[in-house]
Amino acid sequence: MFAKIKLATKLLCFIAPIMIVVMGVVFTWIIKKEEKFIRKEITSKAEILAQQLEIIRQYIAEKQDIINTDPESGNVTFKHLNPAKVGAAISKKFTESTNFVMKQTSLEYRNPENAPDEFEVKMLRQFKTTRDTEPTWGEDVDKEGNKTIRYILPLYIKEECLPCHGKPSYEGELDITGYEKEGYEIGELRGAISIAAPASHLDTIIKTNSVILLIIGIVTTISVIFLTYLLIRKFIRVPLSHTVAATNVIAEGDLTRRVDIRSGDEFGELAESFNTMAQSIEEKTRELKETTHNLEIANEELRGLDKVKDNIIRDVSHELKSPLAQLRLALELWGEGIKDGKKDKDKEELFDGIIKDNIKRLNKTIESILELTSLEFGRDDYDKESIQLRDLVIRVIKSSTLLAREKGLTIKSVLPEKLPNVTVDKQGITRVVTNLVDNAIKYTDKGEILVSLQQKNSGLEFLVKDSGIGINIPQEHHHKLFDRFYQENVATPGTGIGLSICKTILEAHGGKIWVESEGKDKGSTFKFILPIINEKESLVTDS
Amino acid sequence: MGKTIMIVEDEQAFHDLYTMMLEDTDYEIIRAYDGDEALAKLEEKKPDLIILDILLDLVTGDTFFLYIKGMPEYADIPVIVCSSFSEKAYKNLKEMDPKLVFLEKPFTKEQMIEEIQAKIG
Repeated sequence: MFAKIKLATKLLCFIAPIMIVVMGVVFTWIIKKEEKFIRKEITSKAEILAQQLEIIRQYIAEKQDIINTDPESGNVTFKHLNPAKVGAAISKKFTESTNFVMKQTSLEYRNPENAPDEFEVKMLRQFKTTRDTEPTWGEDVDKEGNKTIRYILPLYIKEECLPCHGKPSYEGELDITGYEKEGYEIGELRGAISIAAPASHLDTIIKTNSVILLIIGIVTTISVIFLTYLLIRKFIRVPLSHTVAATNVIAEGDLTRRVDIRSGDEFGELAESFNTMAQSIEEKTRELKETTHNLEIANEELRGLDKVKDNIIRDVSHELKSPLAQLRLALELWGEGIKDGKKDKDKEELFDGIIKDNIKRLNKTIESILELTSLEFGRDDYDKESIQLRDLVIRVIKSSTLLAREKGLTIKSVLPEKLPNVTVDKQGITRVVTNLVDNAIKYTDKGEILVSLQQKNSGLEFLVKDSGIGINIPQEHHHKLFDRFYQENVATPGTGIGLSICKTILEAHGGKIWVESEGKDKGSTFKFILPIINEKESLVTDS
Repeated sequence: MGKTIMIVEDEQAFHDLYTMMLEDTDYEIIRAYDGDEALAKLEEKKPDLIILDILLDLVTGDTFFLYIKGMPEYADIPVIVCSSFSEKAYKNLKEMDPKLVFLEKPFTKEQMIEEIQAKIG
């Protein structure tokens, strides 16, 4: 399921929760720190106030003599300015003019205004047992329900406190202020300075700051998500989708498609690799297509050859069995006639003709087979000599003239004198020329046959042009005529190895044979070329 | 009146030999040198038997055979195929007409006469 989600979504699925957790931790830490800081600030203020009041009280205590003694008369009169009264007055004034509450308190208070509240009672009791000189602080709620920070500075009995709070000399002794002396000893807890600082703004500040931080958090998260999306889109999705699109196009068969990403990053490298791969596929596909095409051609040729082979076997079989059948029947019938003692001269002549013809026919077929077999293994025993090709051609034309005349054809020859000699096997080349001329006669019913010889660069070109049946196969298949066993028309008499023999002989002489024809019934021109080897070369070759 | 045999064969020598073989019988002989000619002659007269060579020019023997077997008026004419090839080479012809007889060349006069008599008496 997760694997199916897009890359951008996947990344965001990781980034978003991590961001939210990290920001949550950081923001909580910031808020806690801030809260601590504000609390500390409030506490410091309360501490200073308390210290200030204590110092005033101490000062007042020290200066009691001066305050109460009349400088002129030297009489001592209590002026009602002792530490407790001054402290109470200052506290009252301060409380009235600020939002702080300042108060002197004690478990054994003289002035009811100094009666401790619940928080103070708890703290005073604590100090009474511990006798701790360090102030303490805590949180509380005032009458209106607002949060306050309470600061309690303990006051212990010192030397100067004893005149008013020390042991009475007699029971019920009153101090200078008119109160009964409590009988405290030095170091005992007398009371405390209590400061209540307003802290309702602490919550407000924290609340406001939390909201601000939350908004910052949300905005940052959204920005990061959006930015990540944009970056993924620009640097990953776009180049990736180009590659994906190209892959799809190639998959559909258009192998010419390439990815156009010109950057040096990983996607650039990917695109380059992809393009190299695509090119390789294109080349390989082209090669494959070519190979397939060549294979198809080869297969077609093989199939053709197979058919040709079947045909040649059929032809040979027919060429052997048909004369054999005629011989057998002729001999059987002749034998019957002899047995019956009948003498029929006409019949005997007929039998004689049939037997002779068929023996000739069988002989020709056997010769063809032998020829075919000898060529099958190749011949290298050519007996080459330097001759005038013209003389050889003239001899062949002479021997074929009769055959041509029987069909009412004329043979025209263009054979220039003084042509260079060629080094050939006379028997082999005679066979080639005879075959070509005889073929021309065989496939032509009327008109003339042209035989010519001419020098072409370093070769001698021989040509036989007829006005016969022509060639009914496309030019690109003309070479097949020279394949062994190939016959354009199965019904054509003969085994179809003549041209193949010509080709083999000419190639053994370093020559070449080919045919030109404009199509069916438009005649054909068979040509071959033999290389002219000059005397020197010939000598070198011979030696 | 004797029965009629059509001989379809491209070689003259065979025609001469078949004629001599059958000269003592009273079969009437129709000669044709290829499938095309044979078809033309069929229209003139319907023979009782056809002796058929396969390798013929233009319309070959097998084409001719398949053609006449496809025509209701000639389909019933019995055929003896005289060829250089055995029956195996022309399985399709045998499938078309199971009664078809193959006489592989070379054969004797006796074999030929026997097959003819078996077909038309």
